[in-house]
Amino acid sequence: MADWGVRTVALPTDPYGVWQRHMAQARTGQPQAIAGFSNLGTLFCLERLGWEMGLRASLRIEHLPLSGGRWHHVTHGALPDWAAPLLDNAAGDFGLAAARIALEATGCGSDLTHAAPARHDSAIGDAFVTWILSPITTA
Amino acid sequence: MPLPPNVSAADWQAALAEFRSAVGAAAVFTADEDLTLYRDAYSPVWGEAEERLVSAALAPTTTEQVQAIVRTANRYRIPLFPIATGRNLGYGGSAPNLSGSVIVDLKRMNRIIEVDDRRHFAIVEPGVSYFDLYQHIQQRKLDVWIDVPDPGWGSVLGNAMDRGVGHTWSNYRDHFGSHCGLEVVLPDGEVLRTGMGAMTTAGTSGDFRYGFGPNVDGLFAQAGFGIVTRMGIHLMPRPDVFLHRRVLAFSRQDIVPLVDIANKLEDAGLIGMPLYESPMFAGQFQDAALRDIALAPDVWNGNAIDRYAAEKSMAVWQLGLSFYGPAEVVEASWRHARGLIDKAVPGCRFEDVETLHFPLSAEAEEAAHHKVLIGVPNLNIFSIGARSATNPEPADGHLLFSPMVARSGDEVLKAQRLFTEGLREMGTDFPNAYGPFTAPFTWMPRIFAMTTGLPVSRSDPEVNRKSRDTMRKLIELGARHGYGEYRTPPVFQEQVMATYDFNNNILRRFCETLKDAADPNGIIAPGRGGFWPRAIRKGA
Repeated sequence: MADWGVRTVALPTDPYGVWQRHMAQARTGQPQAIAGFSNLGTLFCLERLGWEMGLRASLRIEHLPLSGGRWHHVTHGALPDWAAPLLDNAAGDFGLAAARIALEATGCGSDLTHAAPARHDSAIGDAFVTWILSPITTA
Repeated sequence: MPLPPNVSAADWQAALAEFRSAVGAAAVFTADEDLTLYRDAYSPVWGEAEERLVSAALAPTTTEQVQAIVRTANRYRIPLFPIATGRNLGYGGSAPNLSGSVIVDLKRMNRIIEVDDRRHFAIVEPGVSYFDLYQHIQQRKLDVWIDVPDPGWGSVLGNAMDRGVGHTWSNYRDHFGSHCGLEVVLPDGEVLRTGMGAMTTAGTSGDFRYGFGPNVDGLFAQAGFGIVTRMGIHLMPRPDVFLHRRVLAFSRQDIVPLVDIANKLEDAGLIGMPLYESPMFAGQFQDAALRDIALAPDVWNGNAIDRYAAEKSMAVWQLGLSFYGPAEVVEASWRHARGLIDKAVPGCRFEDVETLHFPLSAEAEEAAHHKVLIGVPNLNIFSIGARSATNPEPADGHLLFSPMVARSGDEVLKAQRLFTEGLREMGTDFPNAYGPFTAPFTWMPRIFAMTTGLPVSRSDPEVNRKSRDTMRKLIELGARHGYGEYRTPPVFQEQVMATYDFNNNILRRFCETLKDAADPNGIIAPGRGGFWPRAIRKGA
């Protein structure tokens, strides 16, 4: 991420401290989007903390672990045509692929408030999610 | 989004204009993209006709603005639903009881008016979260603790008004029980202060909760008799030391003396919240043999469980004991507790879990095992919903069934069996819901909550239908055996209120009488607490 010139912070199990120290403060100036990679519970918390600051989830790609080290990726909302093949061909590097989508897929964001987590009958562990919280745009 | 019921389009526009005049146009929300945030993310009726949706939301910043809102609502008979921070997940979130209600979102009223660390109280507005109050105390190095629920992002005031609970001493973890003095905007727009706040010259509203005359504070919890805009709450003096010790017991029947001793220790003020668990709960998902034992019809005699415990050296029960105070006192209390338990529970073992000396460094606080036991707010609870051996199919949320069970080991064993067999008879298979390893929760002082969560989904209505059906049957089953719920989501509040049936439901009928007198237009949170104003009441 640093190669893209993006400031990064690690997200612990309890995201509140990071939210308060880094994300909320960053939002007190001009509106900024925040991208992340976390578990679903962390995104649930950050989405709701972001609401009060005018942020909405505008990108959400879930990564569900399957047997044999495989991953199933579920995108919510519209993404460019190149996004799905990039994820499918990324194998274990899907996090990098998802980060690229988050940073480069401009103009595709829609309000994904209350998006329901994806289901997969063969999922074997906790899902991860790549997301963007971005300032809402109103008419 | 729906309009308020029985309000004409012209009146609605006129009311909105008055609301804008009262709180400013920027604090009146009517667009769908704003109002959707007030949907209950854990709603068991998500996307169905029964889901309770809002018509608008208002975000006042002062008590005077709340008064103006209430007066306008009275003029146009618009139902209001006040929320503090709206994070009552599992019990309704920020959604109202009545669709079309206008949310009065109080989170911008977020002043910490006072924290006194010599008389040990705080006075706060509704928008103050546990995180806010904790940070305020830490930054000023004040000599008090707060008691926090799971999770810590909710409102101190809002949690108390829903009779929420925490994790430390019994005096403090009953959050309504530890409140002291309210400021309330009544349904006619007048402002009431209770306790010593009712005396304009008194400076003791955070100290003495009763004042003189009837104590009416209870009318404002789990009910719609006013909008609470300020609250005092008693705080715990910061202890020098926290000890957490664990007792491991190897017979199913050991729960009986364990509870008796924990009750004695707690009611004498020697321990904080007793923490009951069964290592076999997780164990059954790791060993099919134990799961088979759990599912066998004769599991309730305890013989197979005790044999397994002896063979595998796995405890049937564990009891966490929390001690707070000066080092010499907590060590002596622990020695006393250990002596009692050693005598009453043959073969038990003891473990030192944690000893903390305060104040903690930031690193020590982060490393603490169980933050809520030491009053540190956090959001860790949201990580327990992850997929795991004990939670193979994570839900999008849950609704909570919380029956109150007498604080005895015998009653725990009885309730386990009742709810486990009840679920089986219902043909319902929630493997984690109830079983022989279900332990009681002790959040509420002097009573056990045999709480379980039923899954909800924002994509599969069938999951919700099944959970709703199960919930209704569990409420009925519990009530038949004297287990009433202490808190429930709006969809079930009428049913739960109906189970409090003494003297032809006089409790509900009395609340209705009061409601009709104090709120004749039925504008404040109609339906909250499971009773309705005359205009909406069935059969009125």
